[in-house]
Amino acid sequence: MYQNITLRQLGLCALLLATATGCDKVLDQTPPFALTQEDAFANADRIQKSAVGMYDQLQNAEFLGGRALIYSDIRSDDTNPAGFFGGIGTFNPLANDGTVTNAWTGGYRTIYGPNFFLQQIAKNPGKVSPTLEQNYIGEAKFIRALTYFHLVNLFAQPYNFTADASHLGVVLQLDAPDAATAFDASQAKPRSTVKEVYTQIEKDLTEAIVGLPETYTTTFDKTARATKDAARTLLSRVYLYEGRYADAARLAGEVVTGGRHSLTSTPAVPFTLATFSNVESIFSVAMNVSDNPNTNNALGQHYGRRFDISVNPYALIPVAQFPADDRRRLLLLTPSTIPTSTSSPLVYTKKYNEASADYVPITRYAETLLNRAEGLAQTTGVTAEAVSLLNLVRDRSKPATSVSYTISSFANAQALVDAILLERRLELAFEGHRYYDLMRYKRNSSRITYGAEKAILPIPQVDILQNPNLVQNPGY
Amino acid sequence: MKKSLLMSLVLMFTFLTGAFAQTRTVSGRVTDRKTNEGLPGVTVLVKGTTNGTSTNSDGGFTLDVPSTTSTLIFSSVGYISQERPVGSDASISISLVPDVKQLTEVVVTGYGGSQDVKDLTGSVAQVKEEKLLLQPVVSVDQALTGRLAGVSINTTSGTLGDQAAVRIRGANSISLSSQPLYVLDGVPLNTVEQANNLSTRFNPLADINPNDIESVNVLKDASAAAIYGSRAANGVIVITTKRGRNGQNRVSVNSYYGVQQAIRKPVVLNATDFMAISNEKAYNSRFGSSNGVVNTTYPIDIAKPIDLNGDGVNDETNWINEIFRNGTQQNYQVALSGGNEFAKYYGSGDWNDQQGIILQNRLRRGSARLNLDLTPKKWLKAGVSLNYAKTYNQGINGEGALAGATVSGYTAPPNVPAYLPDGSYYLNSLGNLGNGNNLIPNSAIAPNAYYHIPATLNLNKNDNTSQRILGNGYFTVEPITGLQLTTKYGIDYNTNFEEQYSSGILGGLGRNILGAGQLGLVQDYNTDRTQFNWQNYANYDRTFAEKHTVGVTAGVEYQETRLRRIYTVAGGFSDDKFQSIIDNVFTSQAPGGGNLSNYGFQSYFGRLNYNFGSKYYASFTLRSDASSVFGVNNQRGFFPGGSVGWRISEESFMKNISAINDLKIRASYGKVGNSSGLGSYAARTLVGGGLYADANGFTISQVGNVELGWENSKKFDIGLDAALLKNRINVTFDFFNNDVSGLLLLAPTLRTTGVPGASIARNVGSMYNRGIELTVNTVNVKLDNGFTWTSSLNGSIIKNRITSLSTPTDIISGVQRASVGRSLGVYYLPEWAGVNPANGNAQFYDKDGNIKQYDAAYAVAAGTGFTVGRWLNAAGEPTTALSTADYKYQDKTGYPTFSGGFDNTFAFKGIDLGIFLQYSGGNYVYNGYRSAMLSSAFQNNIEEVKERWTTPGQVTNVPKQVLRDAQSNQASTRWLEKGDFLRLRQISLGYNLPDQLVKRFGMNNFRIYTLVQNAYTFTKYKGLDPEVNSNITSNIAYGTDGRSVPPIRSFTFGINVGI
Repeated sequence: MYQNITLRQLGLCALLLATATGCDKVLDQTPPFALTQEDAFANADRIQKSAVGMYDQLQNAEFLGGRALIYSDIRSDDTNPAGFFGGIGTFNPLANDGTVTNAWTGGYRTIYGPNFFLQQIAKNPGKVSPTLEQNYIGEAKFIRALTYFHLVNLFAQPYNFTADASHLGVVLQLDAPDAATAFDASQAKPRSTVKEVYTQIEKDLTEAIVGLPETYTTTFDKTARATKDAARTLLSRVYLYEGRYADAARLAGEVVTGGRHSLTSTPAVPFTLATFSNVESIFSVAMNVSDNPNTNNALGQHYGRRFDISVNPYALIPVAQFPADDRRRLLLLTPSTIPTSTSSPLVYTKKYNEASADYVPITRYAETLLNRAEGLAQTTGVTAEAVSLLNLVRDRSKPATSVSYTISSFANAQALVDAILLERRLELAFEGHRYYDLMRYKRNSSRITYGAEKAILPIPQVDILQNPNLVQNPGY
Repeated sequence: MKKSLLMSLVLMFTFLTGAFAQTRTVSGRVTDRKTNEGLPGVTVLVKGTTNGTSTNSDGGFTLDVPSTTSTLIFSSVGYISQERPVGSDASISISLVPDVKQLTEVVVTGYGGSQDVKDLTGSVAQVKEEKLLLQPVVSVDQALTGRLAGVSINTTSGTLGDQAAVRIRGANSISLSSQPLYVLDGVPLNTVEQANNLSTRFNPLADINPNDIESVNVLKDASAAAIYGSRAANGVIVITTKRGRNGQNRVSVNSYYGVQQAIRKPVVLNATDFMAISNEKAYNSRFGSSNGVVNTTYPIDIAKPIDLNGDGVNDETNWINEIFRNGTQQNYQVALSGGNEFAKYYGSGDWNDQQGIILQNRLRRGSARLNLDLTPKKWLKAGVSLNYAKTYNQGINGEGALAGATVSGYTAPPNVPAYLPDGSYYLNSLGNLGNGNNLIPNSAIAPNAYYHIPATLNLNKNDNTSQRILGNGYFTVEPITGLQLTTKYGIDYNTNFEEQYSSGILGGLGRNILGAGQLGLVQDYNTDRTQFNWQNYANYDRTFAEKHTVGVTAGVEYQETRLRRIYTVAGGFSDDKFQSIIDNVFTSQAPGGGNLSNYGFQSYFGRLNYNFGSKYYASFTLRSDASSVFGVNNQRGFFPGGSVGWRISEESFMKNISAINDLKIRASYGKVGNSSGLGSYAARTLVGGGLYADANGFTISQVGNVELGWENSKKFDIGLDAALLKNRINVTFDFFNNDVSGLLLLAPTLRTTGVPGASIARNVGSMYNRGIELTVNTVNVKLDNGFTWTSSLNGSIIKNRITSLSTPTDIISGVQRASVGRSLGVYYLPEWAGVNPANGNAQFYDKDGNIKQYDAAYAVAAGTGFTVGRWLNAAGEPTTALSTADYKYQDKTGYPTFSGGFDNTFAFKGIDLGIFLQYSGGNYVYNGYRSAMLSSAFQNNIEEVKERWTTPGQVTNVPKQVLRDAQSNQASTRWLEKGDFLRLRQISLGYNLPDQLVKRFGMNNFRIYTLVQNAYTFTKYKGLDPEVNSNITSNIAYGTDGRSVPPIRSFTFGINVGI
């Protein structure tokens, strides 16, 4: 009996001991997969990686991971109606269309990246060299400007829709709200006018040109990260959309005279896996097999694997304009023979061949040349320089039997502009240009007229319902 | 073998003591005083010694006893022990009296606590083994459907491995999980927090064999649940598995076999109707509404027949028949249980094989359990509960995938063959379903390519293999009488392996994903989740001065959950035979990846129960929980609860009222919390890996909220328990009110903020759930010839209101909302005004109640194309489009307002017949199935489309069909349908062989039964089943039918043998 009591007491002690030596550290959990925002800007190396992270956000699968370009092209006269992308390709999306909502969300999510970076870098001054700091800030502003450029063109009527571009654009968000501010009434922002949005884009690009480097050291960075030339080319495009042709010519001219870029030997080189980084591709959103917008969103999936978009109307451009043996047919269309109709046989582009790993082309030197040519043609008429810039692009691909343009090929400036627009159509096809090029000249696309209500996307219902200051586009 | 060893020990003991005393033999028989039948397994002990034996199957025993023996003790679980002086008797017959007190239902209340049902002051519902046993379900949640008042269990689809949506007294959160806490043998169980990456299904409850379960207790109010504090807001389901009993060594063999079919299958158009309707869609879009413009966007005759095998008959495929099949289910279980006063055991093994109603869907589970309790000393007790289960689920792509069986499978064109004449699949060059002669020149006509679903089901693989170890061990000492100190350590380990193979023959993932010509793709995910739980607690139970009974519990608990996931992808397989990651059979591999996360809980708790003479009751519970999930300032929460009860029937003034056998009123109030479903690091800003192609970077992935704190539920309950008319009527009634505050929400931000995930975890607003519950158990008929009819009716009525929200506007999810002053999940939709009989246009009401009609076929030339469609007012004049300004609250929600069940059992001479009805209603289902199946795209439709408008003056509800007209079929009240139903949930017929016959074969019982599950459903719902719910994890968008696989009807035959 005595022994029993002792053991019972021992048992009691053991249990009390076990309880006392508990494990309070179960509450002390730090995420193994993430840093705090302070840590992410703690030193030069981490700030550099935070800057690179903005491009990760630029890869947004619903936006500049490729979809933003597609939403432009599937409404142009280069493609058959594509039903995969909600109602976008058939001009009948509802305001709650999932594809449209994701595009809007993806665009603003992309912008959160540079906004957050700019906010944090301001809180952590002096941790990197002033040059690098300006470089990163320039990249942030470039990414923001590029994203706004696509947002405003998808969700608002073109710049020239009203004389002073005073029609509604998109919401200008230049902050990265946190938990304390995200639900503030001040976040229920109204749409800025198109003019205001373009002004912001110009401001960001102008400042980016100052801070960005002319080039980088690695082949990857040269195409995959923003440079002065990338910002200049984009700004020249923005000026074209605004009808400020002299400025457009000037900016593109700076790239041309800089001499850092040239056309590659064939139009297929920029779209070849081994040469996604090349002298012609001034800026592309880079992708690779492990880091891409996935099988439902990548350019290469839609164009080259799933075949969601057929391009018979492009292939049916008359041979007088687009010769049967133009290299852009031979190298970049499949089949390269001219189809008999819009539906037979179906023709696809070969620009995006690498499934999910295709880079998203943003600015190519071919565009720079055509931007300058157009800017010149619009301001100084038919000049030798404008024609030679156009020839640079055209001659790379045209068959030997076609003769190069000369000054005498064009009766007047308009004829030259039309030739340049045709060349843009042929050269920059499926890179997000054609639909906007039509709109900025108030031309109709094949399935929609300029200025029609359904020529632009609806503002997604989810935000309309929650933001009383947000005005829906007419017709939705 | 074991038994003989024990006997020899006894003999040895006898031999040793024999030096001092003579022995003699006593024999006899022990019977039940009520039935006069022999009682097996009764322990017979010589008083004051360990010398003893137990009775045989007929109650007989023989024992050698010292001649000095004066008394024998007879004891058995469920009977009052008896001491019997031996004297010089050589033969003893004794009958034991059933112990009524022990036989009353005991409810496990957690942390070593248990209470007699009669003493409960909280609201606890219980389902016993007999109602769970041998149902053709893989997991216990499905077996509970309709059994418990206030517990709604929603089986979401007939896809194997789907989890049921369980709501106790309504949904008690807006965005967090509303699934209850499951506690298995005292240790919290992981049930909701492991989302799968691929579309495979994993139901964590399916790892527990329902036949191993002794009882399920549902703790509904704060008093009962408060001991589980922060995890109890959604109620607690306490599962207790079977354990061995002293002296009752039993073997039980259970087996059943069943055939299963879909409750209802879609009825889609045949080839002829499909072609007629499709071409009519194209014709209408082309020639429009008489404005003279021919819209050439779409060609005419888009659907044409094909006769590929040249048999002179046009090819036709009924895809529904190709996809659905009759499933089967078989189950085998052997369980052993028993023990003596030192050791008790329960062990079982189980094998279950279910072949689903969709081709290739199959789930197999093997499990084993061992429960052991050891009492080496009277003051020391220890034991383990161990469960291992392996579940192999051959899953299917569901409603979430284009290649899902119920997506492409329901809508594929029927006018093409499924197979080529040589027997191979009929595919086009992209690996999708062949086009036949249908014009699908580009995807503008059809929304997507059609997948060949039988080929997809046969060739692709969506496997999920889980291995689960659920185990706990405890050690209890009793240093002084009445005080028990327990330490209990539990582990819930699950390794889940998902393997998806996409064949290179088919369109989709299997083709060229990793590069040109790379056919076949394997994606593997391996997730390890380990949950440790350590509890240390003290229980003290004592009755003072005969009337003051006190029970005290106090303790601490730690819990930590760790999750590790790795994945890998490979493509370009050398042969379709190779469908896994095996060396040298594939050419390319995408870099893999993975994830890690951990979170912890730390808690203190205490409970005090007091009762005075089983008449007056009071209890108080306090729990303090801290969770690493919350913001550092708000990690700890305090959760008190209390209750009182008065057993009126014990009062002297009630003693004369013979009609009332027992009457108790009780009330409870308390606060509990909820954090389940929040991410492990919900309060923190996370800046993680942000890979940019070949460059490393950091990306913000979550905006944190340091103020994030507990969601609190203040629960009030007042109830009454009564037993009337010689206990033939048992009534339990409850009124409850549950005020939830600090509602946790992944609050949606405006998309224009750009916030990652468009949401930030916040405490927003409050709501209440209030309602009543009634359970009535009755013995309706009890005749002298043995015929009985018993029934159990339960029902509950519930009302929900959102009382405040700190967001500036409603919280929106799909077509449903959380809106102040309205019920959770209220629908917000434009109102359908029917089809205009004059022109077939779809009509809606605008915000002022005026009609807007959509002229879908109208076209005007625009460029080289056309602008299509226009909105008209009732007079046919152009007007603005129907917009969100025209949407209205519908005062209808996806949540049932009443539900319950009605169970009847008829028994006569070993035959028993059970009829169990389940009912639910007051809710509206958004019929996404019907909406999708009436689409005007080039796809197959359900038969209802035949009612489409075709001629002026025709009154119908299906508008004129115009190809790819999205406006007319847009979300509106047209798709909102009543979800009321009455279901004949179960009919069972069983027969127990007579005892004499069974005993002759050395058995204890032998039962055969047959059972029909989901026999028939009375409903006006037009979808496949009113109970389907595609959004089980959502509390706002609750009640949407999104083309889930229909539920299963099963016919089962089983046997149950006890030895």
